[in-house]
Amino acid sequence: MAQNQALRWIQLLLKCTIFLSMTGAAVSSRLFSVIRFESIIHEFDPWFNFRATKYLVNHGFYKFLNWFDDRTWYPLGRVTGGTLYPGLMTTSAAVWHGLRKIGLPVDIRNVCVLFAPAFSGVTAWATYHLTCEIKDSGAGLLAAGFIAIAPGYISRSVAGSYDNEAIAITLLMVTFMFWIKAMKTGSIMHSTFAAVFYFYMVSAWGGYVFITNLIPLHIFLLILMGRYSTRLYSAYTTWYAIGTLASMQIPFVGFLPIRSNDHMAALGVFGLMQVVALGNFVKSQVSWQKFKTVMVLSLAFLLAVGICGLFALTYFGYIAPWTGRFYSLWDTNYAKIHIPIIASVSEHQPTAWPAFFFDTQFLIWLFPAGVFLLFLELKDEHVFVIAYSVLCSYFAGVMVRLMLTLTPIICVCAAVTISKLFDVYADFSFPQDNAASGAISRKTRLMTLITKLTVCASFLGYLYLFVYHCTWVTSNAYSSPSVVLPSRNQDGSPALIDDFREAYYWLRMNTAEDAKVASWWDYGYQIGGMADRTTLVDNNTWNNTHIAIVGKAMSSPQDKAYEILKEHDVDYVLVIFGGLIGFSGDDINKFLWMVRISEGIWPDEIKEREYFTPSGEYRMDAMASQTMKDSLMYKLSYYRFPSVYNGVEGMDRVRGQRIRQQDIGELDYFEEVFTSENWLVRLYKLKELDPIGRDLRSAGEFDRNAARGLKKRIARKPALDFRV
Amino acid sequence: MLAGTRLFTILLVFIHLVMGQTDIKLLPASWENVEYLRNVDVSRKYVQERTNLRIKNIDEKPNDEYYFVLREEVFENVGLFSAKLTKVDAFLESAILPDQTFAANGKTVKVGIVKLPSPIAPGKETDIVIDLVYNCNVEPFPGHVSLGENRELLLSTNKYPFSGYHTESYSLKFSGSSSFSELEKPGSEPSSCFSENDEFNCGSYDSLDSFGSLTPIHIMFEHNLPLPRVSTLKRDVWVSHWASTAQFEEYYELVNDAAPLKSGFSRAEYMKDQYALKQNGYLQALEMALPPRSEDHYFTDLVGAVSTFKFLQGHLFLKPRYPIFGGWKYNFTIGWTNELSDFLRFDKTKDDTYLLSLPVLNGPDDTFYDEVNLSIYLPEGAEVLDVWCPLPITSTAVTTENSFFDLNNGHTKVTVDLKNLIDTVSDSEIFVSYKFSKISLYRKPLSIATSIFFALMAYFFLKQTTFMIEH
Repeated sequence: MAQNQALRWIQLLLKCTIFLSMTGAAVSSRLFSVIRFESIIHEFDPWFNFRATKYLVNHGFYKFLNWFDDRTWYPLGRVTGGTLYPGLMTTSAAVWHGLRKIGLPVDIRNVCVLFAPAFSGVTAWATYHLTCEIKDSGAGLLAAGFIAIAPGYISRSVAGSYDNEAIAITLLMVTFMFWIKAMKTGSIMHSTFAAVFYFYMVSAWGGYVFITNLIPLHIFLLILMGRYSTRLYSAYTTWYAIGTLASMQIPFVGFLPIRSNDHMAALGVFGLMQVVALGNFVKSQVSWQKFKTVMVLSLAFLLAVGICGLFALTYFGYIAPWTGRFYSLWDTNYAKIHIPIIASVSEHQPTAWPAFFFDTQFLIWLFPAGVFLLFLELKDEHVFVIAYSVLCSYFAGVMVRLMLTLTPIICVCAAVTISKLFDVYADFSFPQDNAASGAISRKTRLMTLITKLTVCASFLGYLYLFVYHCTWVTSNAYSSPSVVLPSRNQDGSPALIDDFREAYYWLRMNTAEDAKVASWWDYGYQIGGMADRTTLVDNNTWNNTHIAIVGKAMSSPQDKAYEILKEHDVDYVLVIFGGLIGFSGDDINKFLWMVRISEGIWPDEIKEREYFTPSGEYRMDAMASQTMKDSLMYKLSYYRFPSVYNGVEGMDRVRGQRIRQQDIGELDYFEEVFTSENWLVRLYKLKELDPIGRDLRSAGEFDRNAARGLKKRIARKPALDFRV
Repeated sequence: MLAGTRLFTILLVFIHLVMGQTDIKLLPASWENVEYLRNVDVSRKYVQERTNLRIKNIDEKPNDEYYFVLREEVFENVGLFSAKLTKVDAFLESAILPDQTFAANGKTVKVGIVKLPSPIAPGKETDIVIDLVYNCNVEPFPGHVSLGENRELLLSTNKYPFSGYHTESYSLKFSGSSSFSELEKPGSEPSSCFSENDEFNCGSYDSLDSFGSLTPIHIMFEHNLPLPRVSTLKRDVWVSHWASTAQFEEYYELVNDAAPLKSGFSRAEYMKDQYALKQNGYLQALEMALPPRSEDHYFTDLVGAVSTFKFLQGHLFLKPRYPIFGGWKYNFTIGWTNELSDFLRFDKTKDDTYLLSLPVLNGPDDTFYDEVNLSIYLPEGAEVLDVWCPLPITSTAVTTENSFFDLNNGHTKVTVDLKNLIDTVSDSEIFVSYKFSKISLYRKPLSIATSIFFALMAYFFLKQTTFMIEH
């Protein structure tokens, strides 16, 4: 007894140590960017989340929910409080307040930066419990260790990547964990917890629809397999009722759960559940023959009514049809044709095959093995894992960003495989009492031992490689804030290219507080967050037309662009130009999307074809088409660029082309006000209207002629002759 | 005598309350300026005016107070007002009456009082020097410049002495720039100035009345240096007895008062002509003179850390994100840590009493500060006994503020507001004496430990409770 007690204590101690070190590994491997750069918010969307969090902390929860942001989407504004998922911001605000309460007034920025690493520890814990339910605690610990350092998850949860996914994956795993517990036991408490965490998930990420569909699918599969039980009934109905009602409390979701097609599966399965329950009850009361007739008839009737109802309701507009993002899940070309704005985002592109290996290393080939092993056993909870695996494998192949949702289940399945392997091969105890079955020869014993050692050693080697790979990938691929770029000085010492912040800070310090800045939508959130200025469009691409307006201005000649921008009260135009140092993610490389998106709205005025050379090339040098040379983007990007070289030609290092001064021409409608140190960000001001009513081109021409003419007039004095 | 002065001051205040503005004639005209030499130095961001005075008592009784009149706009921006005896080179007691406004010759004026060490007998003379530093009346001229152009400034001041006393002989000189010229504007007299050595001499005049002519003089001079002005400086010093450190953090709101650019900033031109290597009216780097032996320096601004700074030989060199041209602003924060023993002394005469002396400024050279807010965070439980600073303090407050692990009252915070400082006062110190007992020192870790203990116990007991229905 005492020995047992001691063993339990040791086990507990070990488990605690393992979890602590796992959390330590998870957090520390996500801190590369903080150590290498600084505690800074990364990329684009996190800047908005950060700004929203600051608003929440400064103004309180109710003001936050009612937040109308007049500093974006000028002049429309954005009903920010009603169009965001508040889970992330409220959680970090709660953490911030909580820390203040216990005497730790941590800066809100640091809370936001370290939010994702902290939650990755919780994810590991939830994955452990989930896998415990699937197999045992050994597999659980492995799965937790995998998810803690798998690059597929780290890619969205490094320090500073303060995005919805940072918390959503944690909530996803917690919800699934409670769901598995609930459906195994039929416990109302657990399914309520699952519903509560589902609600939390709805409040945090649009990807909650995945849960909304996966759990019903699980139930549906179980019913089809004839595994209906009262446990399932109580678990599902509790989860659905509470979860749906709760999710409708989020302003951005509202009545979607009963009005959108994305949510209809859950409702349908809920109905089916009742029918099946009724059927089960009837079955227990009447004979099999009669029941069969009743079942067939009622099923046919229900199906017909259900499908007709769905069509009718969708047709009359009571139920929203599928969203574009949903269609693009099934047809990868859909977005390219119908919604260029979705296709223009690189993370919406189909995944490249190496990415799977890059993000999960050896887990990717253990994953199918794990699914197979689960098939062999096929308990109720295994069906869930299989459904999850199959669905997500498809989704991850379609969109890069959905790699994120696949990673947890890869970790779980791989952990199941390895733990199964270790169950067999790491068991070095030999049956003692096998005298009856004849003594196993020494040779067999030795061979078994060698086999076991080989397998164990090779898998330990794989595990070592895995850790090495994960650290390498995290450090090299996923730890760049993308606001700051690493570089080297001429003497080889490390330096930072900090042009974005330089220009944003200049905007913030030296322009009027209500100045409006027009830029491509990618930089909207950063301008709002760092420069604190009003933008026309931002990364919340809710209004395609508005984005097209900016795209049209950028693709039009400067006089037309000036008109468009003046109509929208724009004061400054910001372009990203990488030609001087060879930064390939600049606006000229995104320019075709601007053209395409505006062509979608004004097909008569903007034509993509005209921006290519006659031979169909996308060029910027002397061969570029006249439309391209006239476009505002071309002019703003290259203005004064050749004068850094010899004044005639400049070398664009991104495209490797020579840019001629004569193609750039004069800039009459805009005035350069700031260019950052490496020319990454260029800022222009819209010139004031001419005081004597000329259009700006003729005013500029007049000035140039005046400057030129001063010389000429001296030379061209008419020779006066006396006429005799 | 002192009582008499006080009575007089009270009377003045009374009259001030009744009439709003007091006529300057109420001040006794007991002196005569035998010699009034005014030398205006424009080499720095602010104007340094040195007045060499030979004064003669023309009253019947001995007098020891000399009144120096300042125009109100000068008073609003005055950085320094001090007086010296020429012969012995000793500072005299001097101050500007901040609350009293007088009217003279249709102008609102303030009065500075210089107290001589001993009363001067009637008919006797003495020599004093009055130094006045102020940051006004200078503006870029003409308004805008192009990138590499020479920067000219325009100083407008009164041509004749604006004194409460009759002036026998007067001369006005300008110095501190390579080229001066006088600008004639409507209302100004014909130019009478000429260059002499490195100075610009604007003539000497005899027998001028008190509060005489207000004729302005406009002097244009070349000044190819930035004009940095810190509109707000928030300087925090965290004193920690446990870590034995003094941590400094300064938040600057900096603006360059030099002439703005004619058109927008062209990086191409800036790169091509290598303006980064030249000195002109734009600010490319700041040099902060930190206290010796400082460590852990950092440089951030509102969007994060700035990587371009270097610490060399006690000086922190900052390169702002962008060159600060005329009219441009730049807000930033710097911080560093020093050993506490460099600033703290234990008062042996009294129990648990410490004396802290901290530098008032550590900013860049040639800078004017509009407002300085200096906060000193003493450890939790410290009791402030006295605060003293040689510079005129606008307001002093002792409050508390909660910081990391402040589970009781929070750090004791001493806040001092100062106005119109110049960089040269950086060697002045502020003194704070406070009481901090051993009990307070040990109370902090104890209260942290207690809180953690209670939290763990609460967790333990919550774990013990069961909510199961069946057993």
